[in-house]
Amino acid sequence: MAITLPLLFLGILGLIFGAALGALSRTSYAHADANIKKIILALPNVDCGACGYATCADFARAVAEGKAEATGCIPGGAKSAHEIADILGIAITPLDPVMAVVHCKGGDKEAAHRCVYDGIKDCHAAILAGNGHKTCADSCLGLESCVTACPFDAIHVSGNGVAVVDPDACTGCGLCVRACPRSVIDLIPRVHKIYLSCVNHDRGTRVKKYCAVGCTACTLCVKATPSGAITMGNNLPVLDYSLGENFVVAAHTCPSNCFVDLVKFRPKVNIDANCTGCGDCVPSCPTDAIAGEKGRRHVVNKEKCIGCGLCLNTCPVHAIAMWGGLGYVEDSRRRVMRV
Amino acid sequence: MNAGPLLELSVASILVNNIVLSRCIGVCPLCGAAYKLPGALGMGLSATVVMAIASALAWIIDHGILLPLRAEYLQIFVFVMVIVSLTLIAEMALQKLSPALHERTGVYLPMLASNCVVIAAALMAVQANPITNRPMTLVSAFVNGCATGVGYTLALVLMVAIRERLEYAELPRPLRGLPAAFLSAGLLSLAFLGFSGFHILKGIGG
Amino acid sequence: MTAGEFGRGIFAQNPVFRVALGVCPALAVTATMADALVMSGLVMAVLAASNLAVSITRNLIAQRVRIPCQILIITAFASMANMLLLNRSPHFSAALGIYVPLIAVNCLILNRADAFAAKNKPIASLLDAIVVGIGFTVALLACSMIRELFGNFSLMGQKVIPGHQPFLALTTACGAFFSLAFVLGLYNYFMAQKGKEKA
Repeated sequence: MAITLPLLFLGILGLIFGAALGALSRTSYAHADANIKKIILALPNVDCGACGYATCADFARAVAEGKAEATGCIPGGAKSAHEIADILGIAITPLDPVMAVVHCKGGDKEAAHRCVYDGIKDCHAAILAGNGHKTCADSCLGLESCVTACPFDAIHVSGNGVAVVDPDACTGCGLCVRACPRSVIDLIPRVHKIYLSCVNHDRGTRVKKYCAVGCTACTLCVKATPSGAITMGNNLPVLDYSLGENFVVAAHTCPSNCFVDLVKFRPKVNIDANCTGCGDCVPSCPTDAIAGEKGRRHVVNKEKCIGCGLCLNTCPVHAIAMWGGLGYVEDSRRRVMRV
Repeated sequence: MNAGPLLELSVASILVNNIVLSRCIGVCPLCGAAYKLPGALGMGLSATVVMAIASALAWIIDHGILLPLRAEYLQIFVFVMVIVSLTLIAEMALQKLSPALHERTGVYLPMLASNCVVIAAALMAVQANPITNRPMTLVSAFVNGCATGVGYTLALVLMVAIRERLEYAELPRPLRGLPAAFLSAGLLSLAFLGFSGFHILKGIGG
Repeated sequence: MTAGEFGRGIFAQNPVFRVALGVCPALAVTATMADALVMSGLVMAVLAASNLAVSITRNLIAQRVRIPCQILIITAFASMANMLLLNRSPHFSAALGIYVPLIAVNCLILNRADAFAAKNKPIASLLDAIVVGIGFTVALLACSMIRELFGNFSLMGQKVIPGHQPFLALTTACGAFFSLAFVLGLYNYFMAQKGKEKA
């Protein structure tokens, strides 16, 4: 039959190739690969590069070979770090989670434009074309270079024309930080709820001319923070987060509204029945929210209280405690409890 | 083998009958992935190598086995089997021998297994030589494969470069993305139409 | 399969319109409507047959080699289609030329086989193939209608527009790309309109 020889040829060809493919695939997939595959499944697989490797697969290979730390994946966070540690059977200490913040609030309503920009929708392009369209030389231009860079859809340009990070979606990978030509975006630890939203190094009434929320270096925040956690550096307040200061007073005091408080509803202070009416707490309140007669239980005006907590340590009988919308309770002994 | 017809075959395959812009074969990768320029070069390079080898192999198998057995009907099947297996084997071998080269060009090899251009090159190797109108020889099949690959790389690089620039253009919304890519391909093929009738040894219109 | 799903499969969720999958070699044959019809008929036949075959054998093929196996199944049916065409209609076989063997590596057929047929029952796979094939036919017909009408002033071989100077560029590869861009642009436009109506 004229068909037997061709069929035989096909069969032999198929056998040869099948054997070659099988042999090669067996030698190139070694034991380590099983681990690498499991690690890849534990990663977010967006190839953002925050770990220092080009792709998630490269990072997985490096971790399996011991060249990279299991905590190296920042977008994956503690979850992926623990999963990788489980796969490899090692112990880890997870890093503090970070998130990106945009240090600029000067949008179309607050900041002046010096020209109209009609070009490629990219911040780098606008800067090339004459240092951008806003009068402030350090401000966010709102042309979405950071939005393009974010693989998690966590940063958007608001209707007001400045970039805003969504804290829930942000994983702290840092791609937007690298994408911003003005270095307005920064990574801060997630436990820090208040940050400065201005990066201009100008001072005084000159700033007021081009931005309503720009920092004028008035130093009122420095004076309002008794712990000394704020110092001035090049006409901008420098916040020292290591002293345990929560910066609520500084944020409240700033006349230009330059601080951003990520906690929408700050806890309020409550004075309980242990109060002896000594009045030691009254002078410590920056907003004069505590009132009361000597010897009688003092009362906190909830409207005026900003939740700064400066009164907590002044009470000799520990009668002051904080109760808040987020279930965050901090009593005068500075123990943090969850409600 | 005379160099003249070979040169003419090369020019014909690269410019006059460019496989992407004149024959519309191999546009598939462009529809899907948005390559950057280095990626496009890597893809084109690996495609050229695979096409050259595939053309030669196709010729050998056709003349050595299929024609004597009078089994030309098996051409497509055997060529596809050979090409798929070889690209997969080559990818695995490259991964072991040279991981650096594998990162640049090896990742495209599995894609090339089912890419139209490679099969088209293999099929062209067993058809008539368009320049001499006689059956292809092994050398001309190999040269044709190389030249088709170079033409593919050229078209790919051009289209990827245009597409990168088009990202920033403010086109009407329905035309963004794929339609823009095809429009640029159409303009490129219109430009390449200028090569038609071009014989390198005889000049234009010869 | 409901009528809504059917309609969606042909237009809204068809990979041919959404990512232009598998139209590349078919572009070259849409210079005339007759060629386009024959090509789309062949593609639909190969698609249906391969979807059915892949679906029936889906539990017999190991995961590691499933793509090469699917390619070989599709190639077998494409070879059969090529030989059938050669036998039945040498005219169309010569007109379609190298593009009929290229159905063997058509991205659309491979995509449907791997994404759908390998995971679903035979009847569902067959229906999916028919629906996607109808979408493919519509796309090709649209392109070829534009190309033949304005490139040759004819439809299905009959001259419909009087005149002697049609836009010959449309009968070349350039016209293929332009007509496809136009068809895809129209599709995007109507999809956006539908989206706006719903919102």
